Amino acid sequence: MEINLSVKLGRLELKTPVLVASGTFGYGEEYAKLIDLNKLGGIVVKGTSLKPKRGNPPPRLAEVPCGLLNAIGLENIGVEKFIKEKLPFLKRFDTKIIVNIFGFTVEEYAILAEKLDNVGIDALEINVSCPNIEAGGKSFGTDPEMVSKITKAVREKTNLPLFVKLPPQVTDIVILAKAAVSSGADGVSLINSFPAMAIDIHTRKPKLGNVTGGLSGPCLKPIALKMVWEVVKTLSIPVMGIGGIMTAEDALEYLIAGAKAIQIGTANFLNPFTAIEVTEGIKNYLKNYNLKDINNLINSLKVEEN
Amino acid sequence: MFLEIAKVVKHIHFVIEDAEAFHLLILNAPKIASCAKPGQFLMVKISNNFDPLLRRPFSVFFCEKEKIAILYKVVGKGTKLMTYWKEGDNVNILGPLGNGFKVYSLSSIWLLAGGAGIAPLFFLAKVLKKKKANFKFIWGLRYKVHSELLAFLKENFDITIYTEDGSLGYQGLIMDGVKKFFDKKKPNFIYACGPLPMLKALAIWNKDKKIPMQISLETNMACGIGACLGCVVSTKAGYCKVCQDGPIFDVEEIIWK
Repeated sequence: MEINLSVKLGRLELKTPVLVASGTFGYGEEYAKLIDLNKLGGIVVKGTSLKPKRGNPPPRLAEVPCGLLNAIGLENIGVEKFIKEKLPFLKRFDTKIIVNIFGFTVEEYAILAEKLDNVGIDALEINVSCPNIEAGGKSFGTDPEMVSKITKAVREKTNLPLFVKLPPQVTDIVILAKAAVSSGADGVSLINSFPAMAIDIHTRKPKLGNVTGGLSGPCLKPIALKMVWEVVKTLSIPVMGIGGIMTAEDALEYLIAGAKAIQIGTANFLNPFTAIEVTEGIKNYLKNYNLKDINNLINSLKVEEN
Repeated sequence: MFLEIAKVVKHIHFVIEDAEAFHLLILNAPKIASCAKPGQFLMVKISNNFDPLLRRPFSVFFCEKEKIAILYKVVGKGTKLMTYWKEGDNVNILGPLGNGFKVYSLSSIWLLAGGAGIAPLFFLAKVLKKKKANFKFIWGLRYKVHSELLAFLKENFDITIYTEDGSLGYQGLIMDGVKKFFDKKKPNFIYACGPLPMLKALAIWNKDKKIPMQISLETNMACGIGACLGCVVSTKAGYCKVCQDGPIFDVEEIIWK
C-alpha cells in the first residue's frame, strides 16, 4: 500500500511531518555522520541572531526525572556566518531548511528576515521567547501585542513561510497564536521549553549557571499536547507540535490532536535515530489502520459530546 | 563515530568494606573498539524509560580486539542502575567521541589520576607501554581499593598510590606526590584526569613550571557530539565544547574559576 506522508502547513510543503527541533540538531553537520538527513521532513536549525552570541556560563544542563533543563543562552555563530559556512552544507540534502531566528528588538527580527529572505531556505521559525531590551527585558513571547509586532515586521521583509514558536507559560495560548497568524504567520510551533529550575541541596546552589532554564523532554508532552489541541480546535491553523516526542506513539498523539507536523527535540540527544524511527513508526501505524494518507489522521481526535 | 548495540561480556564489581568501590564493564563492540583512542569517550544509554533521560559519558578504560571497557564509580542514579547490568545484556553506546590525548614525547612522562580519572590514563599508559615510553603513573584516592582491582591495574606497569586516609600506598593527596617526585626528577610532559579541584591545583602548581600538560575534563553532557552546546567550559578562546573540542585540553587553555 502506497502511503502518503506529505503534509502542507500553509505554504510550507513537507514530504514527512517529522522535523528536528531548533537547538537540538546543531546545523545538521554533527548528526549527518550518523543519520541520512534526506529522510527528515525538515531541519529547524539552531536559533540564529544578528550577531554571534556567546551564551550562558556553565553549567548549562541539569537532568530531572524524565526531563532536561537547559540554559544554553542562545549561543550561536550569527546570521552572516550561518549563511556563509553552514547553509551550503544543509542545502545538499533533500529536506526543508527552516531557520529559527531571535532578536532583542523588533528591528533585529526584521533585519534577520531580510538577510535570510533570499538565501535559499524554506521557512522561518520566529523564536519570541527572548527578553525585549526596549521593554526592560520583559519577554516578547508572553505579550500578544509584541508577538503581533514582530510577526508583522518579519512579514514585511520576506515572503517565506513563517511559523512563530510560542512559549507555554502564558494564560491563554490561543490569544498568542491568534496574534501570530493574524499578523502574517503561516502557523505556529507549539511549544518552546518551559521556564524551570533545579537546586543542588548540598551546595545550595542552582544547578544551572544561569539559575533558571528551559525544561524539555518527556515530562513536557501532556502540556504541549493540550496546547496544540486547543489552538487547532479554536483557530484551525497549521501547528507544529513540539514537546517530549520520544516515540512514534508520542508523535501520533500530536497528529491526532491536530498538529500537521511535529518536531523531535531532546530525544535526538538520547537517540540520534529518533526522527527516522518515528517516521517509520507513523508509517506502520497508518498501514495497520488501513489509512493511505496521513492527512486523514491529522486532527481526528474523537471527543464524546456530553 | 558509531552507534553500536554492545553486549556485556564481563561486569566485575570491585566492592569491599571501607574501600572505594569501582566497577569494570567490558563490552563487545567491534566497531568502536577498532578505532577508539586514549582520551576518547563513549555516550552510554542507561535506560529506555527516560529516567534517567540522558546518556552518560565515560572515558574508554581500554580496548582489546573487539572489546571495549569502562571503569566507573557509582555517583548517582545512572551509574547505580548500570551496576545491575549482567553478562549478555545489550547496551546502546555511541562512540568513540572527542579528541583524545596527543603523544608528543616518549620520555619522562607523568600520568596523574584522581579517583575514577584513572580510566583514560590507564588506556594511555597501555599505549605508551607498547611504544616503550618511559612514564610514571600516580593515582590519588580517598581510601584503599579492592586488591583484585589493584592487581589488574598493576599487571603491566607500576602505579604509585596516594590515599587520603593512608589505607593504601602513601598517605596524602596526589599533589603531595607530585611535589615530592618533582624534586627528584622533572617530567617532560604530564597527562592528568581527576576531580576539578585536583586539576585546578595542578594548573596552579604548574603556572611557573610550565610543563606541557594535557588534562581530561568531565562535564554534564546531553548529545556528546557537539550539537547541544550544553557541555562548554571557559577557555582563553571563549567557551569550548568539552565533547567535541575536548575532552582533552592543554592545561593553559582553561580558565579556572
